[in-house]
Amino acid sequence: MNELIFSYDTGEEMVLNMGPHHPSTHGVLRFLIKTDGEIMREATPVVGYLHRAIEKIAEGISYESLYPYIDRIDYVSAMTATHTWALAVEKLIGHEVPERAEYLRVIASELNRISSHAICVGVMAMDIGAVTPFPYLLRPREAINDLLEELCGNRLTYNYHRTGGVSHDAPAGWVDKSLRFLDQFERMLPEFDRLITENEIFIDRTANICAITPEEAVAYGLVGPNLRASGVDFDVRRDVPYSVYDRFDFDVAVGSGARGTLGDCWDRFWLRCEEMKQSARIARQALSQLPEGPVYNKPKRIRPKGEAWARVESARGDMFCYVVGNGTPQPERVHFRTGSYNAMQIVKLKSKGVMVADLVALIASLDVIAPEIDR
Amino acid sequence: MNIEKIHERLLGHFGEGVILGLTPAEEMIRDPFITVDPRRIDKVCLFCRVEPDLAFDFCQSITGMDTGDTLTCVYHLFSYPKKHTLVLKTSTPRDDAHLPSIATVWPSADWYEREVYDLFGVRFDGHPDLRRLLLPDDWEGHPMLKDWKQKPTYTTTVGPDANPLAMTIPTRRENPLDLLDTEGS
Repeated sequence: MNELIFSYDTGEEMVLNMGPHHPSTHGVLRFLIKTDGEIMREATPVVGYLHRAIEKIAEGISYESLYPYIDRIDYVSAMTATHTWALAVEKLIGHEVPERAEYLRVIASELNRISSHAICVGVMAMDIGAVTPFPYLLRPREAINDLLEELCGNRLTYNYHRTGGVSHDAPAGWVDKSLRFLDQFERMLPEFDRLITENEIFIDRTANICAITPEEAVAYGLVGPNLRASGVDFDVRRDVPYSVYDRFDFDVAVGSGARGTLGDCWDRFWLRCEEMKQSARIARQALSQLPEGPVYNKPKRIRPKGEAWARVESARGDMFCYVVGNGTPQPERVHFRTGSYNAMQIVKLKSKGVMVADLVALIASLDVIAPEIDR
Repeated sequence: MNIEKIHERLLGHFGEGVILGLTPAEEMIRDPFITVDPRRIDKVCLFCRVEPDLAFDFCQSITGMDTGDTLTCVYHLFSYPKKHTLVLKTSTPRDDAHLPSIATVWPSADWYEREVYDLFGVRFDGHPDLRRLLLPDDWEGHPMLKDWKQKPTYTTTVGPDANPLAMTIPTRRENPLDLLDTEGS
């Protein structure tokens, strides 16, 4: 099949523009694609449309005021993003966090990871032509938004973390409500797998497409679900534990090429479905172990002179934050390196020789969120 | 492997002329770092990647920093098989900021270096495609430098022609409610 397509080489290449307005929710992305008919020669990502200079803004405001900005770096999974900043500042000033706050952070992060993956797999199915799964997964996402709204008052950009804890304690009855939601959600996931993950048409459409080998994944710095889908068994939550993740029992899903090649689009899709199950498992354990106590240990004065870095397993993988303080209330330098940033780099390599429609599958399966690239 | 052992290992191979020193973890420096000669940073990075006992296969990030007379690049490395981390720092003079590129050591460093070039103006020699990444191609200056001043206006129009979308602002009415006045009322 492939040979047939390649032999039909007219040698007439054209350069087309794709984007910057992408029809799905990935944000503002643009590609310059060089094609020969339907066959792609190369797709060059052009980024920067959502560059809002958050790192520059950070140099002019206090450590505490940066939290709402970090929410906007990754608006689909804002809990994990602000967790990175909280960890970096707490490490820098050597500040303790109450145990209950750590648990609430884990619960919020895992619920947020479920809703983020729900968007990713729903949008991926929609991008390549299956519209039903997307509204199907918006239902649990809506329930999570409601739960997190009860917890912190916001539905998308939460501003929940503080240096030394979280902003609000869980309201009365919230734990039971969350557990009831998880019961419902776990019953729903096998249904979802029957609907789309094991769907024959969907497998035909995504298996063997744009397979990324483990070596490529590591060299190009893929992180999180994209890395694990290529068969590299690494999860920050398990291997470099932060917060209280070492107290929970969960499995790290790793891609195996079950329906095609190792690291293809289907593996990345399947892996996120598995991660939703594991996140529900972690959230359930954390909810049932939730200790009593305060949720916020307010730091006296944040004027560090030094440097620290922190990394967190965000929904889009290993999120890295480097902060340098100069003894004033404002940081000297703040730098974030996010999962989408690395995922975007590999598009140029993997787009060679695939169909134009498969590029959409590749971008969707990498779960790229444009503001995370540009910051 | 901890940072002291990594430091010894690098010192043994490159000598004191290249590995300029180890800053240990103290009160506020939470993560120790090794300072490296800017002319040899690519060799040090390659060594860190290929040596089996170091095996730094993941370049976490490259951070540019404005440190007064010099521009500093901070390299955060991590090893998946060994699970250890390394922070390398190197400084280059601000007036003529040049560093050897490490995009051939880790392909992921391609965009990291483009970002540092874009925001700080450090030129990476040997980089395959050193263009601006986040800012428009016609942007002037490197805005993450501490002395960068924002210009009063900026349009993205490329070329000598005036921006066709720019409009002259109509004169404002004294009182917006004047618009509602109708004759004969």
